[in-house]
Amino acid sequence: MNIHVHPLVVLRAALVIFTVAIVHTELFVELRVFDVAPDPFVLIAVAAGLTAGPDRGAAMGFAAGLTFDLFLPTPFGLSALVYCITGYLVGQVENTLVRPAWWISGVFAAGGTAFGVTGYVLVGELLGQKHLLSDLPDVLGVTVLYNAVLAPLVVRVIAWVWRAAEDAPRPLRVDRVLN
Amino acid sequence: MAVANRTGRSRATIVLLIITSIFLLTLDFRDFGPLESAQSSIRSVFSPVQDAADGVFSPVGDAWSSITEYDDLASENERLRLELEALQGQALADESASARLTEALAQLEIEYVADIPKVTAQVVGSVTNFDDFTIVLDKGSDSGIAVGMPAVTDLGLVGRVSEVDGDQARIQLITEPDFQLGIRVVGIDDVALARGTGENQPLLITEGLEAAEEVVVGDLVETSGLERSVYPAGVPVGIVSDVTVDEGTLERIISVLPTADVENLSLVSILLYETE
Repeated sequence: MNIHVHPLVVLRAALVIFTVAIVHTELFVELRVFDVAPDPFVLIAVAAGLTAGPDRGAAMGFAAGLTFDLFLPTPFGLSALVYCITGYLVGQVENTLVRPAWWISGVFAAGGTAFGVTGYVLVGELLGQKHLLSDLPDVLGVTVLYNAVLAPLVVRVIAWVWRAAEDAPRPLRVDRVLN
Repeated sequence: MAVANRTGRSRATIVLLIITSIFLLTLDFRDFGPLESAQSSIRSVFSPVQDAADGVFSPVGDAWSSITEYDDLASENERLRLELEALQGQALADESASARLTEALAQLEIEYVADIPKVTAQVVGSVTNFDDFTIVLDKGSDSGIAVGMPAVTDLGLVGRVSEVDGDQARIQLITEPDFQLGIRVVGIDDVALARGTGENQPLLITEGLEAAEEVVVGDLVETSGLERSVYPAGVPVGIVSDVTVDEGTLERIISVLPTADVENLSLVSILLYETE
């Protein structure tokens, strides 16, 4: 398996995830509607899958989820697991689209967020987090709407991450062979 | 061919990431120390930037709160004003009673809660959208806080420190269904175990009180402070709100409403109390 990773892409991705973590923990958590805040980390996974396919969607979803897990009391790795699958599936579905429309990012954000949040709760319940299910309807309703609104902005930011490879004069290729 | 290669690579990537996630979850469930240290170290990288960002974003958050919670704030303000008047009167009466209690406890060689040093910290916003029965405070091990220390307000016990970083601490609230603590009902010598049952729900005492028939609604429940207990004796926990009998086992089930307003905390004190 060849993985092409441009260092500038990694740098920009890290910068975006770091910034989102700061903005989320200091601002978004205050902007609650019905006591629910947006979930920008699952939105990063969705935007990555939408703009760069399943491979990068999964990788960005994993990195964003792992960062989110640092601040959560739920088991470490739970968000990473669910969000990497979310990014992967969004990338797979996006591959089947013949002609993407301007509104598609909002629809993907809503669907991807619904999948990610529901998956987080269901896997969490399986892992013994028995208190998650009761809050699901409220959280689902608000985060889906919030993320659909934020989607155009986040998609642009994630597209900027991938453009790093195009902007650079001499891209560095990292080949790693697995299997 | 290229499409097939790409699909195969995508599958390999997702499988690798899923395995990594499951590996991390396994380590977390086993309380793998190096993983917890790594998490703590990474959080400490975020911490100074979060502090700086707080100054920038807090006016926005405050403005949002004042718009969305105006009615709640106005009624709470009124309620607090009335409570303040009542408490000022009560404080005068308590002052002399407290002096007498301290004197009596000193004679019995029992450590009085008011004498234990404490650190007061502010509750910071919860990051999660789900009720996780924890709160995060803006002070941590740098202020002397350690895992296991009791968290209280002036009204009583709210929980215990479950996780601590340099400048943050996570408190497990007494309402969490897994939370258990040793208690005693004031005026009755027996000790018992109380456990949390969820948000806005009373604690339950289902076993341990041999003299349960003597317990009546309105009795004060406090920490037992038994040997090796993580809580000092005499911290108010709650008021008995209901006493029922289990028809199957014929045991008494005692409901205890926490004296502290666990669902609306803004300032919490950590008693710097460690079991010897």
